[in-house]
Amino acid sequence: MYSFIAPRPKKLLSSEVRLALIFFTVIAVVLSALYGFFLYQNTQLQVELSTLKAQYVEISEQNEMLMDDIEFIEDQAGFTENIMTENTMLKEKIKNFLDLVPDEITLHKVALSSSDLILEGITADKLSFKSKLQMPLQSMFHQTEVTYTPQEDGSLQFVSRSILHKESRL
Amino acid sequence: MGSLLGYFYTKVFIAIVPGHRHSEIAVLSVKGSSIVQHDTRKFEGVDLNAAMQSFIDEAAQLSPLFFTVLLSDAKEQGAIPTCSKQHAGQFTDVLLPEYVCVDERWMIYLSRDALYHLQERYRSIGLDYIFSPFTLLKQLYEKQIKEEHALFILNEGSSVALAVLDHGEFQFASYEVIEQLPPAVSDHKKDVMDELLDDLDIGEFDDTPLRFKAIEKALETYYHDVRFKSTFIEKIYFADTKERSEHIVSLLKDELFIDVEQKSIDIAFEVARLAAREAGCDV
Repeated sequence: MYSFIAPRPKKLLSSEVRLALIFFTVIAVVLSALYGFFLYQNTQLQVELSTLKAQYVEISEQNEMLMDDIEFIEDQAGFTENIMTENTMLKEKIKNFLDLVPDEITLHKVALSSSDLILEGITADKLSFKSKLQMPLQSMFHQTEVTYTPQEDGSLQFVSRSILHKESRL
Repeated sequence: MGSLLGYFYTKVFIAIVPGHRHSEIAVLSVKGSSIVQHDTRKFEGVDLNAAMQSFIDEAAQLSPLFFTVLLSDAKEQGAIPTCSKQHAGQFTDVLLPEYVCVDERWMIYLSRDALYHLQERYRSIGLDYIFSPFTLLKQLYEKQIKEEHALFILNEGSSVALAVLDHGEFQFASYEVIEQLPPAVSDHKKDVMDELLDDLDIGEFDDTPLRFKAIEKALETYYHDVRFKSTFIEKIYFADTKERSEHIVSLLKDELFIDVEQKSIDIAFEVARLAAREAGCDV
């Protein structure tokens, strides 16, 4: 540099133009900031949406499993109810049956299982056993077998096995 | 940002070269590395007057990037073969100079007071650059200064600036303000002379003898002063702004027996071009 002095600073733009430029620059910066903010928010919401979608799928699967469980439990409940009803009916029948046992027949053993009824006792004769006990047993059970063992006093010891066939489950 | 915007603007350089009775003002418009337009005008008077102010104001309107430039005509200026402020005292009496170091080997200086007065003189318009005539010489003869040993003279309105360089090595410089009239003439007689000259339409007083004497005196100092390294000068490069320069050229050839290469220059235009280069325009 060969000059003894340095040049004065130069204003390229008038005050009005500078003011207008500053104004538009500020507006541009604010708009850019807003745009950036909304872009960021949008990204965050997208992430949240993906997460919610994944959760929805997971919950749907769980829901399906629960529905299956509910169905199973309902089936089980129905089955249980049926059994309970049958058992109640059976108990009623047995009660009714036992009410039917005449005085001439003495029961020593009554064994009831899920599929059969075993009666052991003493009867005066086969005829009175058949008419008074065996016929009701045959009405209640699918199959009844009776074996008699004569006793010394002339009475007969009987063992009756009545079988109830199992209900098939669906 | 500023330099980026500045690229799109035309730069305007307004150069002022004060003389004895006239001032030359050049306006140079530059875009990139091209000169768009230039105009040089001569104005009466040395101090800034209404006509000059109006011309400058008009030029300043051409672009917000305008620069006003002045070629210093102060007496207390010169060039010396050192860049050291401590050694400057060996070559000049000027105290507290403002200086520009050239090639880290020689110094162009101007006294601080003179610089202040120049800035005050043009305070109404403000100045961006002030150059020494030696800087102008360096620009005018850039190639010759690097390649030859010669005496380079700038003969302009109010002064003679001369420098001796040998293949880029600075040896000696002298700056003489040439008084238009002999100092003994009174102001009244000066006014009478001016009126007479205007009536006779002779123009400026022919100060060729004074100029030649100043050159002779400078050469004598160059050859005989032990402070300066001197070798015989065989060539003079003479840049002239005056209209009648053939007289002084023939004097130099005949009296000094040295080959003289003369060129006429538009000094105000050259000063404006100097400022353009200073501002980074390659013109």
